[in-house]
Amino acid sequence: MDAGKSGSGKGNGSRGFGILEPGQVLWMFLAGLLFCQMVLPSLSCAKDKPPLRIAAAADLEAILPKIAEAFTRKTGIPVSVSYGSSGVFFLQVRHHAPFDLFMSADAFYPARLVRLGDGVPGTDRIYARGGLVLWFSRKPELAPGVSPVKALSDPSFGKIALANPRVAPYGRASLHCLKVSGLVGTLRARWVLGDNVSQVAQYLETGAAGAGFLPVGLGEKLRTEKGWTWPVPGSCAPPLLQKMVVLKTSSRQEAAKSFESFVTGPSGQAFFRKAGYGR
Amino acid sequence: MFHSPFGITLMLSFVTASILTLLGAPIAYGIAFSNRLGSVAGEILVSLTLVFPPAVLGYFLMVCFSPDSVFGHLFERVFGHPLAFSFEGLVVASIIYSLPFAVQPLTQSFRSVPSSHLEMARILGAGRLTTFFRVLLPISLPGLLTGWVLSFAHTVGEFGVVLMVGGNIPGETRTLSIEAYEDLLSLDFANARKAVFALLLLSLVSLLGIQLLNRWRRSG
Repeated sequence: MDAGKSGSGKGNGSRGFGILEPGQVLWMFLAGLLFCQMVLPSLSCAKDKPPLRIAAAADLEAILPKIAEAFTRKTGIPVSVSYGSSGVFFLQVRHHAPFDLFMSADAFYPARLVRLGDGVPGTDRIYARGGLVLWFSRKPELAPGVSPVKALSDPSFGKIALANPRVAPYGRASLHCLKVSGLVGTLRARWVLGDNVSQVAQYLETGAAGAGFLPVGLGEKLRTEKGWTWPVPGSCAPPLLQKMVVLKTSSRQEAAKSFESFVTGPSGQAFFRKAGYGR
Repeated sequence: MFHSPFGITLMLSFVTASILTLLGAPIAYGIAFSNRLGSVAGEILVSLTLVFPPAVLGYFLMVCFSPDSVFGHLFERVFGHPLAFSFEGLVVASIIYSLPFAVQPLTQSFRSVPSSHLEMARILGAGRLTTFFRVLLPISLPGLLTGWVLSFAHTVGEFGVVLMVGGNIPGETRTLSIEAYEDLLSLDFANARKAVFALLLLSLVSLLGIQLLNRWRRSG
């Protein structure tokens, strides 16, 4: 049988297909698979000291790294953060994503998780009161006493960016402000929806949109030398209560709770205040 | 190395492409040599993921992989950890997502083999299996390798499925494309440049591989 195999291999070679025999290719794949099998366990196995895994809303991207670093310095517990849309994280947590703590951009998702049995009861705590800023690529010219939000109807600002109100809490707040100001009808044709607030920040940063709504934290982060920001008052967009919750599937609930205490404590809150959040 | 986004992407693409090539050969054989109805149905089924929005496909896979489903539960019982949000979950999802890229070139290769070759082998006494391994597969080797490279390249650039099924966990399921996306969105352009450069490198190598394969096929 073996002799026949090598014979057919040579036959292929003479026909011009024989740089590699199919048998050799098969062995190469098997060797590759074996190699991966050896390496895979090192990928999936728990490390000695697994980090605290946090799923965080995109508006925290500007501030959470600093808080996590301070927390690690204080407690020695390493933290690994994934940023994304609160809505997507909600879906993933519902299907047992291996996070320990979920920091949402609103109060709705964490409360819902507790009700559905995926969050630890009593751990859904408010950690920040998020506000909006309205960002303009240049300072709008306004008659005295006129709210800057009215400047959005000036077509020279081009596209108006906001987060998608259907999936992003900050988008809902932005839409609320437009509705209160009676601008929804005139602006609808000019607005662009970002999947989350980070995308909105990118639209503004790149100049694809001339004005838009951002969370205070990201508004600070966006280059301040260009553009002009106006903090949206609570009468236009009510502040967003942002909640976090410890997840039931977490094997490190104690560490997650101590992170919660750190965030709601004085040192954690100082970071939020500095970034413009209220409490 | 293996916990960096680059390492994870490289490993994911390599494992996916390799498994797909092994898995794709019998599937392509089935499509190429079954009757017309079977081959049409097979090709449609395999190509379904080409038109399905990746994020939606990712959501369905996440639901299937979660321990609440029969399949996910079975996996957890056997392997001791859930399939969703793990590297293995990414591999299974990528195999489904990149299936057409491995199967289609191979199906074309199989179809272009003159049926006289196969009939000759059968007449000379070779069984079906022998004909497959000694005649069909050697002639279709360029198609097999093209399938490998294409599914490798496709997995490198995968985004929506990986984000949904993987959950963007640093060191485990955060691939280069997610890293690049996150860096761009967080306006961290220095890191984004690195991730994009790595992606570009992997893409260029894969595309160069395809060009070389095409050249080889034409000359062969």
